[in-house]
Amino acid sequence: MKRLMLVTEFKNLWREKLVFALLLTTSVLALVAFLNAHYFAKKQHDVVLAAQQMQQQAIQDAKARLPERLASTADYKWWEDPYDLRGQAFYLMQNYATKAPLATSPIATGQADVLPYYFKMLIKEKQHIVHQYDYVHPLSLLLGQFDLSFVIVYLLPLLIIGICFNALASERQGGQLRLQMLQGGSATRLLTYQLLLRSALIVLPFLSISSLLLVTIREQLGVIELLSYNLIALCYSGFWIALTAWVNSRAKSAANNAATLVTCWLALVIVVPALVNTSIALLDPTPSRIHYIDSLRAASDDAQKASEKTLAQYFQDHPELAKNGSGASDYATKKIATINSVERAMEAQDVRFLTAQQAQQHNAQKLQYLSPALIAQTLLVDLAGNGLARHHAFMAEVEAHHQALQRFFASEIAKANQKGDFAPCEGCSAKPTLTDLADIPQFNSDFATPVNNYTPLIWLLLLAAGLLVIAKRRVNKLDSANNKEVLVV
Amino acid sequence: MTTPVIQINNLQKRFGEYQALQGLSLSVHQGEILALLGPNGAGKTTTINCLLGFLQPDAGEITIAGINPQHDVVTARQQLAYIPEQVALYPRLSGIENLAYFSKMASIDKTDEAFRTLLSEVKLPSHAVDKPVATYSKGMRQKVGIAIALAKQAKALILDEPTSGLDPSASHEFSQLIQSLAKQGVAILMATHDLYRAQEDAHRVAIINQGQLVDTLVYEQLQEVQLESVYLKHIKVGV
Amino acid sequence: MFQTTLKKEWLDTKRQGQALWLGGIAILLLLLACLTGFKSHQSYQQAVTEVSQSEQLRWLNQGEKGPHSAAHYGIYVVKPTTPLAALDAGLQAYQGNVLRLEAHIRNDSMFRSAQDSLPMSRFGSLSPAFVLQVLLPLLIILIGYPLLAREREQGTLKQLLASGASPAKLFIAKCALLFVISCLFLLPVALFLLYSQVTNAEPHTLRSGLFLLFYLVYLLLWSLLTTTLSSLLPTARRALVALLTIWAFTTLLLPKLAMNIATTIHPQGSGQAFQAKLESEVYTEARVEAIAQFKQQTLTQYGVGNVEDLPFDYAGAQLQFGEQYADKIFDRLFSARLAQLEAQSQSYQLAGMLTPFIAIQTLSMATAASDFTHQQAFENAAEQHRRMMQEVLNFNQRDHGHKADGHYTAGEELWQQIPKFAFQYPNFVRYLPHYVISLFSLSFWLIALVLLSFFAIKKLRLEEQR
Repeated sequence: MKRLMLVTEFKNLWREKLVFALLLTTSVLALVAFLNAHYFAKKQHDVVLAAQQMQQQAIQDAKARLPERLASTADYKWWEDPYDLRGQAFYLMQNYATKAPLATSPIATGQADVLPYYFKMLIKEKQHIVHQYDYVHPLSLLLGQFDLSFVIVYLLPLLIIGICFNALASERQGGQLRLQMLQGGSATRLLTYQLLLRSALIVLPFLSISSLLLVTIREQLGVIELLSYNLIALCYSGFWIALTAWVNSRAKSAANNAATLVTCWLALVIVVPALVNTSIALLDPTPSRIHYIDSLRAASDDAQKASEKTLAQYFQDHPELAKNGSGASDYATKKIATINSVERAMEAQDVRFLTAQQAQQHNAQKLQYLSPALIAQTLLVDLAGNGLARHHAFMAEVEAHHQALQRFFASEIAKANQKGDFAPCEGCSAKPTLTDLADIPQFNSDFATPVNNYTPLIWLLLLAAGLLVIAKRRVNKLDSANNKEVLVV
Repeated sequence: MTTPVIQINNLQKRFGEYQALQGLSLSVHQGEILALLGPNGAGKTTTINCLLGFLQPDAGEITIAGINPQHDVVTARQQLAYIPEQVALYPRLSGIENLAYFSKMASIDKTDEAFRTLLSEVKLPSHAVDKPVATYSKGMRQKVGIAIALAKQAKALILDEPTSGLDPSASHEFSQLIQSLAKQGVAILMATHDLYRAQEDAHRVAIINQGQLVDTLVYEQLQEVQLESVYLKHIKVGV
Repeated sequence: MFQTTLKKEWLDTKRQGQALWLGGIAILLLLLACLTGFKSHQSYQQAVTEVSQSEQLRWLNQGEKGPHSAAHYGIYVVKPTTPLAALDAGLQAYQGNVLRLEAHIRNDSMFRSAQDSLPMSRFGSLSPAFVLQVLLPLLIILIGYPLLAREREQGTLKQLLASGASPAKLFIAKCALLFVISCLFLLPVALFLLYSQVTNAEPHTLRSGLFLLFYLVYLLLWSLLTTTLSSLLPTARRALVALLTIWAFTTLLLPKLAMNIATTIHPQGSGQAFQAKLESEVYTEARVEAIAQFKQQTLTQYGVGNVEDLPFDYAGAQLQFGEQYADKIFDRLFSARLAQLEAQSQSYQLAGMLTPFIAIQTLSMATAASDFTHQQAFENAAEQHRRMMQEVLNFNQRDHGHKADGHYTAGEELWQQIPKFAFQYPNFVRYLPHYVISLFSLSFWLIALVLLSFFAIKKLRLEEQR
């Protein structure tokens, strides 16, 4: 019986020329979405690679030219001298903090196009470093990348609706349902097989093609990641299938079903997420970056004006750098002290932004339950490593690296200064104070990525199960006597 | 006389304020064709819905080959076949595919050959057998409907306005099929407005009005009377 | 005719309930969007005024210092908005609104607020433009799909036509009804525009007028399309499915795909490569040589052998020479990058021939001055301001540096010579060439749909004869 119904349903769809059209659509969508997002990730990966190469190249070059520099007595300006600690610290350093895209990146580009993924590090205020970004057409950011998550979250439900809205309804209106029931069939069984077959025709080709592409082209992809991807997509599609079952069980006309389902789609995928975003922003508004600039400016001014006091304070905090105390107030140390003081003054501001974002994130975690689309998107973005969790881990590592660089240069510069390396004699140029660039701390790009939280999936499953229970009850009623929807008229 | 295949006793059904059936009793025997006549709203369709198990009567009893659809709708349905005015088939499947599908739904598994034989028995043109039903005429669809009933070897056949909209020759062909089914022993209940066909085909005619049986004419009477005048008399009485 | 149809459809709609509900929700969403849009516009504009003011004060009160130190100190300028940005914030969140103007460097704008948002924010937030561009067409579809198709299914269409109703009039009445209903949604927007016209010191009459006009055309397009398909397709169900498919394609799929393709066919190097290029192309051996040559030339010109003997401060002159040398390279690199981005914009606009959404989106952002082109206008003006600043400061060093004993310092008098950066968007007419494609595609859609309507009316006439 099961086979008979599935085969007949398939024949019906096939003769409607739907099967081929669907297979083609879903395959093309999977291919285009994957390739587009893959090339996006690849481009970022190449940039990361180029940055790391430049860093290594700088170390090699310095090593190669060291003998020449040691032998030379020419007049070197410190800000142009790669062997001078100060030149490296403030101007010349090729030192990058990078976040390479994960193997799962093509699943959901998420914020990867907006958030910075590499920083060129120098000894300057952290605030000036962490706001670097990749200059791209802002319109492409507004519209977002065409990736697998876009197809899963927006298009798969539409396709499911498009092919399932007249399941059962068309048999009911056409009278075939009556005949089937007289022959011993049931509405419940018919609807079940119709929905299963039709949605499988959409979901399975899409998932198998995209999984195949992920496995073959993104080589480092793990089994767990692949399973998670499929699980999220299946749960989300499952919700939509359950919703179509529910709408179909109301026994209205096919046009009515279509209008209802599209309204549901619009509400859950477009309107509720927009409302959630608006309310998140209203509840905990992000502070103004324009005012932030103002504070940064004021902090820098204050630190500059009080530079002697700043330096004294700095040595109080870092007594190890003030050994002997003599001649320590050189330009570089003073600059680092000023940077330190600006960073400290801005800390409260940075915390404000962070707190606002954390509060927003907190609300987002609660409000995402209002829309399955939000849940699916959040899970996919986190799985792809393009969400906030991994970015925060990256930024924490950047911060640590920034501190490490500052400590390194502060102490090395102080040491060199005490030895008098910057002014060995009246009129002669500085001694090389940094002979091996590999001594400069390097960014640890293997920072730990937090584990994703899959509990919201349970909510999706609960929703789907609830809808299915109601739908089943309603369709069972169709099967019982006294139901006007299947009467002979 | 044998026990009736379709037996309706004192059937009552009310829709809100409206009493659709008030104590209707009918029976159809094996090999008998009963024509059910009556104006619109007389209760013909309600009776059929009760027989098919789509409606639960308020009172009274129905048995089909001894089985009460109120108690065991699945077994009751196995005993009967139903051909509506518009036979609902899948338009994109061919005649034979529809026949096979609906038969297999009723757990009747035959070979392709057997299904083809059935279709030729009901005189479906052989060139149409493998064409999609969407291209069929109304008469051809009805033939597929009869084939489904034949395959099921139903003991009772319920027809709802079977000849309306058929051209005279198709109508004639249809009545021949019905007659041959009756000869095979099927009990046939045919609700119709077509007085000519009723007089020609039926062994008995039951006239109902306002949910009640108002007259029954047996075969012999049918040969003698003008059915139309009898019918009009009863209906006018009812008004 | 119109009145009768209006009355009949109104009764139908009222009884249907669903459309009325949807309309109510849509208008609520629109009002909410207008409110939040206005609020965020106001707070942004306030921040711009406040921070620009305090930056200016900071600049003036920076104290006595060398002009070149002041040049390094620099100034931050902030991009202003037009009141229309409350209705369509466009790319505001995705481009930096602050620019640092300083010596030697042409900076990119900084602080894109999208960077501070959650990944969830990419679902978009409620803005009037979003409601008008995305939701309103859907509402038109949901109200309009049965207008003619259901009449056909019920058989009332044939009856109407048989009783002598003119197909053209019937069609126009139905379409007009749809258009009028959708225009009701423009009312809050029109009122807001009127309000901002009255209350704003510099009204943007042309921009506001065009903004409304473009949306009127856009809503007319959807009304025409809906009525036409409802008339051409045999059943309401098919009309609905066809319209929804078109909607999903034109507002959801095609724009994203179009931009992704545009960025692929006009690829752009990474920001990292660009920054590296800026450094490596400015600070080269050629620059050292050029400066040496400039020095030699200056010495020759004044017939002296030593810069100390020049009648001015050579350091100032060389600084200005260095600026101009770098500016040429900036011009080349930045315009190459811009050309690529412009090409992306144009390709995207070209896709407007496939979907009117792209046309309306482009034109809406354009009139609201929240698109990439207007951002460029701001960035260019800021760069001109930066160059002017450098020139004033360097020439001051050149002309006065040598007069001082020891280190030359200037004061507020010099700082005041640099006017406050007050950027205003030029007249919209000047930007029109950027949007030719979108203007063309919007007109193209209008003409195409009017022709399609004629075809639909002709088919209705044939139906009458059948």
